[in-house]
Amino acid sequence: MIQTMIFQPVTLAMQAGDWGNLLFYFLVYSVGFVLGAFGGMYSECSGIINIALEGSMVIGAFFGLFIDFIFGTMDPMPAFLTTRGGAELVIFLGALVAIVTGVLFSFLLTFVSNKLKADQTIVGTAMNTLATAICSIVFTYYTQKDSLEVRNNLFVTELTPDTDNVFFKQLASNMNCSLVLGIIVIALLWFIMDRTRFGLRLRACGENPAAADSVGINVTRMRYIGPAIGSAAAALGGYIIFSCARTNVWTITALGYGFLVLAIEILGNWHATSIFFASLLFGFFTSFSNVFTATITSTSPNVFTIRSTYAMLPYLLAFLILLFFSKRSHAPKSEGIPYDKSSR
Amino acid sequence: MSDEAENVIELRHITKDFPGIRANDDVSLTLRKGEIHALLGENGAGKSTLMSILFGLYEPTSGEIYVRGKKSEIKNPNDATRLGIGMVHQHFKLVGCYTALQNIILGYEPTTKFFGILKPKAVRKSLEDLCEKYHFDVDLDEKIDDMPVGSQQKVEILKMLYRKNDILIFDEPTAVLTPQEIEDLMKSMKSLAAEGKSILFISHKLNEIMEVADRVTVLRKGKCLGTLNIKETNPQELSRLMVGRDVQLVTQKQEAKIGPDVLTVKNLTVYNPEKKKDVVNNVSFDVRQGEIVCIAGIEGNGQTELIYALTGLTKIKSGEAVLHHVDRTIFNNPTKPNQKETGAHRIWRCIKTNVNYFFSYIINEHIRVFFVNQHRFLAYHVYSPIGNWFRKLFKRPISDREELVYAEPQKRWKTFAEIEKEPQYVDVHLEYMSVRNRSLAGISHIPEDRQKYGLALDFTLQDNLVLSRYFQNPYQVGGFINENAGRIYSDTLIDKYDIRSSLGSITTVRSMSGGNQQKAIIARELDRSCPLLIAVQPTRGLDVGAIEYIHKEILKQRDAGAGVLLVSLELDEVMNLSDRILVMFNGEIVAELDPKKTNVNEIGLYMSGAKRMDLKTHTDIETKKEEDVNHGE
Amino acid sequence: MASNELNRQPQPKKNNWFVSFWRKPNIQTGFRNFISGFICIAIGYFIALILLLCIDAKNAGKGIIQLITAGWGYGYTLDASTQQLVFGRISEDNLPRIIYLMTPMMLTGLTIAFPFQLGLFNIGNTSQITIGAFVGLCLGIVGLPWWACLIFAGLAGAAVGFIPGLLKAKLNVNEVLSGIMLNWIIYYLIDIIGRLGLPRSFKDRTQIDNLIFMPNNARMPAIGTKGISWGLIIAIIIIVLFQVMLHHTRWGKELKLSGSNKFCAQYAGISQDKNIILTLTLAGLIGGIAGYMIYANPISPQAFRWSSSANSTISDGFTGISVSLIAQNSAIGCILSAFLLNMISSAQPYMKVVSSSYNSYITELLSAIIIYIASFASFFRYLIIRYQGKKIEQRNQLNLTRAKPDETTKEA
Repeated sequence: MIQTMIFQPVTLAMQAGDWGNLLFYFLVYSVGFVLGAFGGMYSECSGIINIALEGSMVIGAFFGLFIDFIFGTMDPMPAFLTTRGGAELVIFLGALVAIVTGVLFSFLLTFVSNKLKADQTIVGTAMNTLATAICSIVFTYYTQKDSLEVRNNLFVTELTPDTDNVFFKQLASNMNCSLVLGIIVIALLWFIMDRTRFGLRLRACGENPAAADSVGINVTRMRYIGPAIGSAAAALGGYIIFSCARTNVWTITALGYGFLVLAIEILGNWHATSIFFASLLFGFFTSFSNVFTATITSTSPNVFTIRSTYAMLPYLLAFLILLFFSKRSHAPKSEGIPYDKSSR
Repeated sequence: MSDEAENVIELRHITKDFPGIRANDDVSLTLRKGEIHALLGENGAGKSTLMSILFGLYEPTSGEIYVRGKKSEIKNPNDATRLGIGMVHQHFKLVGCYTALQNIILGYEPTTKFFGILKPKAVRKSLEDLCEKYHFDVDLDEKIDDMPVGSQQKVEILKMLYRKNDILIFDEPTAVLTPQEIEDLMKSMKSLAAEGKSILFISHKLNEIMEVADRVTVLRKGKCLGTLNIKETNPQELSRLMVGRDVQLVTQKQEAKIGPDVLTVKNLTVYNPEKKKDVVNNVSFDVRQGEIVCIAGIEGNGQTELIYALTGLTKIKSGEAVLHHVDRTIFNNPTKPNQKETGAHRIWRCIKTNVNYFFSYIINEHIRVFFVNQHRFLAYHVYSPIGNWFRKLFKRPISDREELVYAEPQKRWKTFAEIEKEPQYVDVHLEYMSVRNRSLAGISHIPEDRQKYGLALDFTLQDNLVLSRYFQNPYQVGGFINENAGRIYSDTLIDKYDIRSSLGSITTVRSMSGGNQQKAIIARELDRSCPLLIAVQPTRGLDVGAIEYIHKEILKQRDAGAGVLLVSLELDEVMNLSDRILVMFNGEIVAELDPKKTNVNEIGLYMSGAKRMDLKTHTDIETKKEEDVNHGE
Repeated sequence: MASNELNRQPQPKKNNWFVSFWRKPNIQTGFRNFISGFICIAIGYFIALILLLCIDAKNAGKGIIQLITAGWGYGYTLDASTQQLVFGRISEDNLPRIIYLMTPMMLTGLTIAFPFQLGLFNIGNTSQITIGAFVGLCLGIVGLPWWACLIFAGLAGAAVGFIPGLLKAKLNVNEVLSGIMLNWIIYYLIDIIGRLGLPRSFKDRTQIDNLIFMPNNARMPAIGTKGISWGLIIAIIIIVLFQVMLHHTRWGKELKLSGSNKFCAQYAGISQDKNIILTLTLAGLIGGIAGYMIYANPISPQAFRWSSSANSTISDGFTGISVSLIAQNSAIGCILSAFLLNMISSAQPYMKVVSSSYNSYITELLSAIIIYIASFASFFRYLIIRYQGKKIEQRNQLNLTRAKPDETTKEA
């Protein structure tokens, strides 16, 4: 009986034939979460706790989609935008804008943490609210309307591929170049942290800033650069998620994915490879739960055929991991402690 | 050893002032090429400050530094490294989760030209060669946290060698090493010196200095007393130079009226997970009424942890500490210490202890069983603790979670009638008691670090002075603080002990001077007149007048019949005040001396590990090498 | 005896009642909190003014006045005949509306402010509020009177608040992370219960994602007809209780000591574990009560959205963080700060009147800026302390240069 309960959703999914959607959303969410988690990792490895990842995702997604929105609602629509190439160019531009806004957003955190020695958790939480407010104001000022729905017209008709195969149709219908950019950026970030001099120095600043200082590394400068990279990555991740995996409308919110990304960091124990696999896990569960709403209509609801169970599973998993493994967590030792040069 | 003309480092007339203290006073030092030069001195002599100046962490108030004959300005560690000076600090500057290789190359990484991609293979061979040359047994891919302390130190040395430093400074290198690791280090230092590198090392351990150094400079209280050749001197002369002066008996002491034991410590062991060793190793001693027992020793040999274990701030790994003659009725009602217990009180106490038992013990037990003894969880069903609880509902528990301990389990839960028949004054085992219960039982503690443990810096002087009594009756009534009573008490104490502050009772303690802060702590603790007073470095950082006053107060407590356990680094104070001296070295008590029959030099020899005493027979054990210590007691 | 007196410090002169009241540490801390909060708000309004100038410079002055006064019910309206902006009364209902919105917000602010005395950041208050609301609503629908719903909602919140406390005390799990996880777990748990276990009659007929409104005898009794309820009195009593408890009882002193210097607290014999667990449980209790109050307003209650379908986020607890930050983590300050936040957000519909390019989200931005600046307000407190220290030093210098008291009395 339990077996049928567990296999029922899988069989229903197979019957509905939604593998394409599942794979697509799995890719999108995984890439987005990996970027967000790497962003958090870069920030915390330099010693600054970054709770503002949710805000970074919102800001990145908004300003990227804002560019798309501006181009997509130009009246009259220029010819090149109706082709796939033109649309992709605009999306790429949006991704770049997302990265830049992420970097600027991080300065709100790092300036206050380094100069004024504020409590980083609190500043991060306050910045989440600020991000939403800034986006709301920019959007309503531009559109002169009160609605907060960012409509994206770029993908409506032109980009569905011309095949009859449902799988490919679902897979490729919303795919865009930001996903590819995201994968490249993930590889780059992993490489930088693991194999270059910069990554070595960055992690040293978060573990033992006195040691880093004694070999001549400028700890304060690292504590500006680390969160900047981190915030930029999270912003790009937010843009990818909300430009690929959505219906045409986005209200300005990150649906709590910023905090999901924090959970991934805990699970991944602040190591790049572990974070990667943890985000794959989380991406799978989130995509599964989202695809579910569309396809599964079951007659006898039980715990396993409800979307919420699968959406809750990642958080429950992270909670249990916290419970059992808090003593063995390898958080960077001096994260959250402002570095004081006089205490050499 | 090389010719006189080659002075690699010359420090001329270095003076360094900090606010309120002159750390170095006109110190001059020369270092020859290829020699091992030791800096000897007590705590506070200024050795670390001098070396920090040489390494660029501080700048001298006046004086000049000449490196290889040229005048040099060293403003930060990078300058020092460029001049070829490297330093191994007492607290290693290593990143714990990195491997040895990563730590060594940090800051001077071998990389490709663009992008800064690391190429560790390029230097791995040369580092491995270095390891072989100096016989370092270091695995370059092992994480620092997993390495023993000796290997960590070798990584620090490799860091310096990798940066091609010729002048190596070691700050108390042997403080954290085991005897075998010390041997290794001595060998390495000698081979490094033979290569032509010049080594400066700071130490207070005479036997090591005698073994490995070529010349030694002695510092005392910031002044340089001279540089000697090792071959022309001996440990006694060095010891005399380090500490020797006429001990001034400032205070007149009455004869000690020694009574029965107050505190008995047997086989106490305390484990430190960070240092991964037993920092207090099988220590046994006792303190009697009317006597001052002083634990002497260089800082870092386990005295701090011993005191924390006795007062409850650290856990005890094994052993016992028993406080004698404690009034059992204190724990009945801590808020009203001297009140008689009525029937209503008893019922309330029964309810409280049972509720406390339910929440803390049962929840603790379940957490403990679930996470630790999972195989027993299914057999350990919920019923058992609750069943036990029902059975004991009307008895007041005297169990291992409560204030008093009896060894036999059947004695642990008793009815009130049975309790009445118990003797009023009992011996209590400290290892089962909480911090507050220990202080109620009669221990007053003057802590070593007054800003960390002794005072709440952001609170007022009144709150701090009332800290040991605020939960008792005049100062809190029915849960509400009675500020007037607190104010009156703190005003009395300020008057009595002459504590100076800018606003009186409502001064924020942070703004008071160090001496007055210490006086506040002493006022608070001494006013309680507890049977056991534990004072750790009570006169650190104070001027002569305050020191005299505090010594008088401690003697007053002793004459009133309290037992005093004093821990001090100042040998003056040790000789002055104590009736019995215990010397601690490496976590063990290595000597028990009578201040009337010994002198400062002898204490110094025990403190530095050169001599050792068999505590039962009070005779010396011959220790030529450190290895014998392990085979000894 | 006389020579001893001369050696001693000259006795400070007896102060009058105001100075001795003013110099009390609690009063000083409160004063500093108030001033630094005020500075944050002033800077926020200043930045909003700059923003208004950028958007539409002509009406910026009127815009900022509208922002300040519209909450109270006065502001600019467009006079139809002259097409000019006229200052007058715009609404009778704004002030009562602010008060009944403020009632639960005060308590959510307290759930953050209270554990902060111990150094804990209770970001899991959303879970406590949500479960309190859910339990309170379900029991209300079942038919219990309002005070029973209140108590059980509080107990549910306390049970949920107990979990991060226990984890922090025994297993040293960071309460921020466990709180965030618990927020989402409780959020989805309520959805699962809603889909599986909740009877159809509980759910709203038209909007199936919501529960029905609280039935009448489960709502809090009203004071007047504008929506103010007894909840206001209960909330104010709770806040005053906590303020008194923190600053005037033994346990409050222990909490402040543990938050200020945990080593000294350990030395003084205070049990850290017990305090952490108790504090977070109490915060959960308050959160549960706050959650119940949000949905139990007598006139126009909100609808509880049990379903977790897309685009619904949990932000009940984050308003608590906003309130507590502006209040500089003091209990009494939560009242004023909740009032301020609601005052700003109730000006929202009236901004368009002043100028068509002012959109309604300016109020949201103003709140967010004030909260952001309040997050590093410790810097302002540091500046105030330094300024006060300098004044004390100057006063001491003056005292030293004056003649000693015993000399002057001799001369007199």
